[in-house]
Amino acid sequence: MKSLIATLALTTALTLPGLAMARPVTLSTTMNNYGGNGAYLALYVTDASGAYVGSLWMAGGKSKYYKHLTDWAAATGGNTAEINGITGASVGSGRTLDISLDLADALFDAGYTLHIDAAVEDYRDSPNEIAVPLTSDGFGKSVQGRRYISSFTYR
Amino acid sequence: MTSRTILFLSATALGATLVLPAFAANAPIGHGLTSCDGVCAAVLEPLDAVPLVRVSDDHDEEDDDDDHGRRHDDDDDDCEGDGHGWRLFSRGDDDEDDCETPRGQNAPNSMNSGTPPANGLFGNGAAPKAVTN
Repeated sequence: MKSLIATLALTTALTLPGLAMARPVTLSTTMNNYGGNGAYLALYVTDASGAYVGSLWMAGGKSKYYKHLTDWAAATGGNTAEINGITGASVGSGRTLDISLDLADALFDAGYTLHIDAAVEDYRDSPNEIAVPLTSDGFGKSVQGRRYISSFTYR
Repeated sequence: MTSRTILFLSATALGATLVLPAFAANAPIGHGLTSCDGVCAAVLEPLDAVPLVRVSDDHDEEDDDDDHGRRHDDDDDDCEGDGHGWRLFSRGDDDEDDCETPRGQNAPNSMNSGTPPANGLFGNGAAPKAVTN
């Protein structure tokens, strides 16, 4: 019986830290009714010094338009390897994009910032439309965009 | 083998199964694409150094211009070198990448291939799921 308890304690101790390393998050982006075609959005993270860390999602499938996501393109050189496997359709006017993912726990309360660049056909590019610090306190708080994004929330 | 030994071994295997993926996903946050070294680097870096060359171009840009009904289109080849404006596209082909990027490091694998980049942001290595409402 003692060995069983010891084994359970060991496996629990080994498992719990692993589960705590990721945090399930939903990134919700609601577009304004700007009236144009679907918007291209680049969601990416920078560290406390402002250096690009990595991309979380690319909304919009045609790489030739990625240069209009100017800050993302400048940070990555437009390298689409950065968004392999995390690319989806562009987001229409007035629509909401919900992205569910497990974010590394180390990203929160450590100076990291989530950015969204936006671009719409025939409209002005909007780099850094959203810039929101990743903090525990920021969960569920809505942030307003500058041009095309009505609101952004991570929860 | 005693039952105690069997129990210990099975518990260890269970713990390793649950924990190893989590530790693997806990790579240093940053640009994971450059973290290739050792045997990996020896195999992959020579491939990166070889430029991809398009060996055939037998289609006529004019004939293949399928931008039917677009509002204006005065730039048939805007995959490179055009520093201005959007090439207009219809909503119906948003997901179709018609840019002539070669397969390789500058072309996405696929839409939602299920394998996000190893940039350290994705806690468990699972691909995000996106829904548009």
